Amino acid sequence: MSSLTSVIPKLYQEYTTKTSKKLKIIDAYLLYVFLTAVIQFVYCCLVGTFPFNSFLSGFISTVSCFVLGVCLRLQVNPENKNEFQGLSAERGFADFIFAHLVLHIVVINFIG
Amino acid sequence: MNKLAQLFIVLSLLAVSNAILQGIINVKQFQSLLEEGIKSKDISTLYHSIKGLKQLNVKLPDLCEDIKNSKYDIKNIEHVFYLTNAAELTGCQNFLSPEVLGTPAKVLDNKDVTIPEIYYAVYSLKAIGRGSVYDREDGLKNLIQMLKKDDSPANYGYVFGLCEHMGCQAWTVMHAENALLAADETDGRALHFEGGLPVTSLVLSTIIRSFKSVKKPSPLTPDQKHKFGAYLLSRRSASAPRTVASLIEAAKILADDQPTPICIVFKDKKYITSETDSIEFSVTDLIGRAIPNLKPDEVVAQSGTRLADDVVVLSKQPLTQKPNEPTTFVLNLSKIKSQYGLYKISLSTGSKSANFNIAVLGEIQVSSVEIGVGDVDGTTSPKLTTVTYPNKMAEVLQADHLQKVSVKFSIRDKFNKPALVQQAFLLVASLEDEREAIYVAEPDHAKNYKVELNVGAMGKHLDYVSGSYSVSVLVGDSAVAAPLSWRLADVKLSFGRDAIAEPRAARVRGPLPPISHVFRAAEPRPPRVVSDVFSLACAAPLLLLLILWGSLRLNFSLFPFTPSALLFHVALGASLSLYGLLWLKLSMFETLRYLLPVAGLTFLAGQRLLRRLARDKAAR
Repeated sequence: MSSLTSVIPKLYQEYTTKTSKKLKIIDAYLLYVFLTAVIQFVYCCLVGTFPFNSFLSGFISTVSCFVLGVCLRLQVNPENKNEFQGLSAERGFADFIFAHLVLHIVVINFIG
Repeated sequence: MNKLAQLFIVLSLLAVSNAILQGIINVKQFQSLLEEGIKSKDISTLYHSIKGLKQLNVKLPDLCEDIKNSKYDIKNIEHVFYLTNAAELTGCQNFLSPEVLGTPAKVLDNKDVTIPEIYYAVYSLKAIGRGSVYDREDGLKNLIQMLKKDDSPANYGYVFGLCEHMGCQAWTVMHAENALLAADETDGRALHFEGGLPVTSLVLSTIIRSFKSVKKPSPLTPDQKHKFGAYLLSRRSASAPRTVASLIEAAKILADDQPTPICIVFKDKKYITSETDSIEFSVTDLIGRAIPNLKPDEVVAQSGTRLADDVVVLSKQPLTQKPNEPTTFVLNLSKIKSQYGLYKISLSTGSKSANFNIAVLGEIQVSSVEIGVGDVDGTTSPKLTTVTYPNKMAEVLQADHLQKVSVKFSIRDKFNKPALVQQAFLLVASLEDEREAIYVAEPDHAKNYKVELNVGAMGKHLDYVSGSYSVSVLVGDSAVAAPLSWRLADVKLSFGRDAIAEPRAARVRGPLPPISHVFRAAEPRPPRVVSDVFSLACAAPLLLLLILWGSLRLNFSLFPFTPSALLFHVALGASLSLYGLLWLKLSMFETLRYLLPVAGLTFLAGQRLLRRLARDKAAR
């Protein structure tokens, strides 16, 4: 237990110092998306799922945004450079935008 | 045992190939139909009706005026044929005008004449006494040439017919077998010629008559005769004079051709009851006449088996001929009378046999009937009252929804042995209206039937209408002479709840109403406050995001204020706004139409922007 209390501040320190600003921006975005999903889920548990398609599209859109955000983070992270040889961070961002455009037209169509 | 089985197989094969026809053609039944036909104005109907009545040896009224005034076309050789032959059959040749001679003469001179036309022409001339014009030698050669072009069974029949007239029956005898082989077989049971009843009748009658005229035995095998007979039987319901005349002609000629196909039918009934113990069969030829040379002891019931369990109940029992009725044979079944059920009897005459299904009808009675009312939970055993048939229980039973009505009975045959029946039911019917419900009575191992009616459960069958109901036992079986319906008691049922007010919907026949899609019914929405709170809660993380980004001190110093960058952000914003519009009012297709140029713009601008960013990064 004492190790855990010592680990967490260390982890936080490491994160604030070693993570690049770009990644922090993405992490903030991911946190935002995650919290939105959680709130939607709480609403669904408390009030009910009607209309179901609206709930589904809202919830799935947050989940998908989260996944896409994680993908972008992986691709932008300099530590993963070897994995994405020849693919720049800009290319990753362009893919991210494109995927979002496709995702949201589907979500909006489904929301009813 | 094995050998026995083989024997049975052989016997059954024999039975198939040497079967007996199970039906007769009652030619007399057509008389009224044909008598109606001779009133017709149409020459074809008139001729065929006359021909049919002649076959039946019915005395014809004077028809000369009718023939003369009938509707026909003097240019049509078929009409002329009908006209002249009708006149010949009724002895009215003198009523014909001499002009009728012209058409046949013209037909015979024609180069492109067909075989039926020659037949009609020659027989028209023959009918008025000018038959010798068609020469035998050349005529036959000519006909054979024409047959090579079209050797349909109908053409063969016409040529055989012409040969009867020309005296070339020897040619018919040579070619009859081939012509018979051209018959079509249906299901391996019946034979007929292409062209139906008229052609079949024509070919059969010309062949059999020709063989008779040269004093040769008929070329038809017993099997062929049987199958032609089966075909004729299948056309018993013919109603047009033409087919009826053909049917009578063919049936008579086939029945006269010895050895004739044998027909066996039930004389009147196909069951025995306790009063009668014998079944009568008619053993006749195709048109219901006695068969010559049939020894009475040749008609034997080879075997009889019960259909329910395949037990053999009789074998090789001869039938007795009824005195003064040579066609009626009696099978005495007093031996199997005691066991009711369905039986299969195999009758044979000589080497031929056929199977007949008969029923031995038994009598049943319902005995040891007990009825009572008890509790559903079994705390009190039902008090059973015995009722005897056909009385009704004097007391009216009372039962409510916590009780059950028990009915026990057993069914016994005439010898007081317990029996099972195919159908045993209990009918509960309202005494006041039309409501009724029927429950199945199931037998147990000891063949006792028992029904327990839970009054509470019965309610849904009777719409929970409390009141007086009658309880009846219904018993039936296909081998029972008299089914039984016995009202054994009345019972006052109370279902302990209100009757369903709605009358039962009448059963709808015809198309059902179309099924329309129904959306899920809207559930009650939460109060406005809750929705608003959660909308804010969903938006709250956005604020958090902005705060976080702010705390990270985003700098826009590197933002390139180039046209492409501006354009990219504007176009992206436009795309997302378009989505908003899609949600609010646009359709998917409209959206896609607007989206395409915007998306293209976003792509181009985005590409320029990002490329520049990448280049700048590399340069730094």
